Amino acid sequence: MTQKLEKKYDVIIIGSGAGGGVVADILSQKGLKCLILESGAYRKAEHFNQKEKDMSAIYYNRGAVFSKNMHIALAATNAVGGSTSVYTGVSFRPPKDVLESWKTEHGLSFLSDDFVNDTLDYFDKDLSIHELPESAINQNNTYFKQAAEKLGMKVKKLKLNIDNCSGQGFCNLGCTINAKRGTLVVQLPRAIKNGAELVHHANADKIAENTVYFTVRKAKEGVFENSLESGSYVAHAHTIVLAAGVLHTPAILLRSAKLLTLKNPNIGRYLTIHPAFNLHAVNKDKISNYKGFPKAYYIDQFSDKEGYYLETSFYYPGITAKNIPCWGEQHAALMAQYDHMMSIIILSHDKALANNRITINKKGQPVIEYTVSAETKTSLVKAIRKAAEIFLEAGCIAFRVPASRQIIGLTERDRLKDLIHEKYLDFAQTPLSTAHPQGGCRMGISDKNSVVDDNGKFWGSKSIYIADASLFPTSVKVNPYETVMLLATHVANQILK
Amino acid sequence: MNEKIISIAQTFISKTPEKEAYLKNFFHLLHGFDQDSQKKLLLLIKVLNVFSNLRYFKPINRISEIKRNKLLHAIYNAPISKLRGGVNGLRSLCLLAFYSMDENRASIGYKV
Ligand SMILES: Cc1cc2nc3c(=O)[nH]c(=O)nc-3n(C[C@H](O)[C@H](O)[C@H](O)COP(=O)(O)OP(=O)(O)OC[C@H]3O[C@@H](n4cnc5c(N)ncnc54)[C@H](O)[C@@H]3O)c2cc1C
Repeated sequence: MTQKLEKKYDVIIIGSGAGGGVVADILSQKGLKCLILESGAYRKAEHFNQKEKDMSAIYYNRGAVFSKNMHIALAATNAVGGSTSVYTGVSFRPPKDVLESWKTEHGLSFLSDDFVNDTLDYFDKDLSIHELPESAINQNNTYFKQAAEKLGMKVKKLKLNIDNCSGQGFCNLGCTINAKRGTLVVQLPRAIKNGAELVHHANADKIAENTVYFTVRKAKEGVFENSLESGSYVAHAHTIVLAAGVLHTPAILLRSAKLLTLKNPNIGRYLTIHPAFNLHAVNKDKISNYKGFPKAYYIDQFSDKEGYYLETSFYYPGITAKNIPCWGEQHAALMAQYDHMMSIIILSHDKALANNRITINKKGQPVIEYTVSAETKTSLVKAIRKAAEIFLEAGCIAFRVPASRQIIGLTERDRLKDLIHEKYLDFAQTPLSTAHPQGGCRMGISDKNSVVDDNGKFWGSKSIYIADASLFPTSVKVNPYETVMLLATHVANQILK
Repeated sequence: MNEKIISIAQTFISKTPEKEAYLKNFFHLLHGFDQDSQKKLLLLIKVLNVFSNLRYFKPINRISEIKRNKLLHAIYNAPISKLRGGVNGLRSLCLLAFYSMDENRASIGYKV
């Protein structure tokens, strides 16, 4: 039986990640009574143990939600704090050209320089966004920089949102000392202090105007007592904010089609994923890359013409093993040299296309329909070759990467073009990974080509807003969390009006 | 089923894992997937076994390492994209289950 929550809320926020956490923070600071419904568990620093067999439970499907064609493995978090509880904290402001196109082509005129700069300056302080000091830069990053510069590339320093990081290495399994600044650590505790109520293990099933239907599961983990027993509930509020992320916000809307008498054909569409490959190579030197902060540098000089970024990275043993696209003796020999491994992530910019979308299956669960374009494929192969050049220049002696059929080493240096080739790239065998999905409920100024208006309000609705990465009209081309927080700030400001 | 999983994992990892602990971790990770993915992965193991029986007249855990490797490669290169993807999915799970065990992390030089 569905129980009705008698308490009246000003706002119910669905999802506690980068978008939901920011909205909860802003609205509760202004005295609005907020209820945050989060379907994941509430884990804090003391629950993280840097072990992937335990911590992969933070993710949906252990970190790999596959697209229907199995070409994409999407990493998204199911936990209080959303993906900010496992993100690496790489902090990019949205590029000027992207903001310009969002203003001119999608009508988002609120993105004035003043609004953007003031908001992001605030996050710089609130989240301690800064460049790493030289003393904190580990070997992988140092080798990457030296090699890329020798090859004539321009290497830039990343900004990160960490505070007192002890360099444990694996940010993506949750930080055991709260060094990483995200909604789990910063915005949500503040919102709770200001009166917001958080219910974890609480899955929003459907919504209607001013109404959320949700199910609370029994909490297996988590420090906090849940304020609600397990069961089915309905709650009402003046405003409903959907911030369940790119995978789930469109799914909730599609599940609610009847209740909302939905006609908008754009829901779930124009999905972009910032397609990525994580590449690993064995260096002649021993490299303690699993210690220190994994990311310090990036290269964006190929962004405009060839459509990709390169960033340093590093991953724990199981994921590294999965990323090396072979098996048997060859694979074991590479893995045996884990303590000699360098790592680079390549990220390609994909276009927002209507056919790439989130839809739902018969059970109402999200399904990713995404076809990698020929343009993206070409860009990915170019990026892999570029990373290979850096590996070899940095002294790597062996690696196996997607789009190639063999181990590559120093003697293959002049043959990278032949050995790393589009004809060898099969996304079924080597699926792309994505941790940066965007779009699906794009913001705009006409219901003909968007899902919400430029205030974040769902077209045709009185009470429903969206405030997460699904708002992006196109790919922001860089790691997206700052842009999510920027748009969520705008939506919160509109709700306050 | 357990014998089949171990034999396939052995081919992917190129090592003989400690059986009981490995299976425990394999199923622990598998149960973290949604029902659909769990079903598909277990079904794939059955399909691989059928292929083994058809090709070598023996279940997949009773053929030689060389034959198992050949069979897995043949399916990994099959014209059906879902089969290629399935083998990769199974490969990923087998590797993840092995390298996420404390003793195996330590053996490749990862120090906590
Ligand atoms: C491993 C990893 C590393 C990353 N690193 C970086 C980085 O370094 N820099 C960067 O800029 N970005 C990074 N990102 C991306 C960034 O974290 C996301 O872009 C951002 O968190 C998206 O915000 P969101 O609010 O849209 O979704 P999320 O932060 O994912 O939050 C959505 C929340 O909604 C909850 N939810 C879903 N469905 C329901 C429901 N039905 N009911 C209730 N709750 C629900 C989910 O459990 C989740 O907590 C990373 C992501 C991952 C996964």
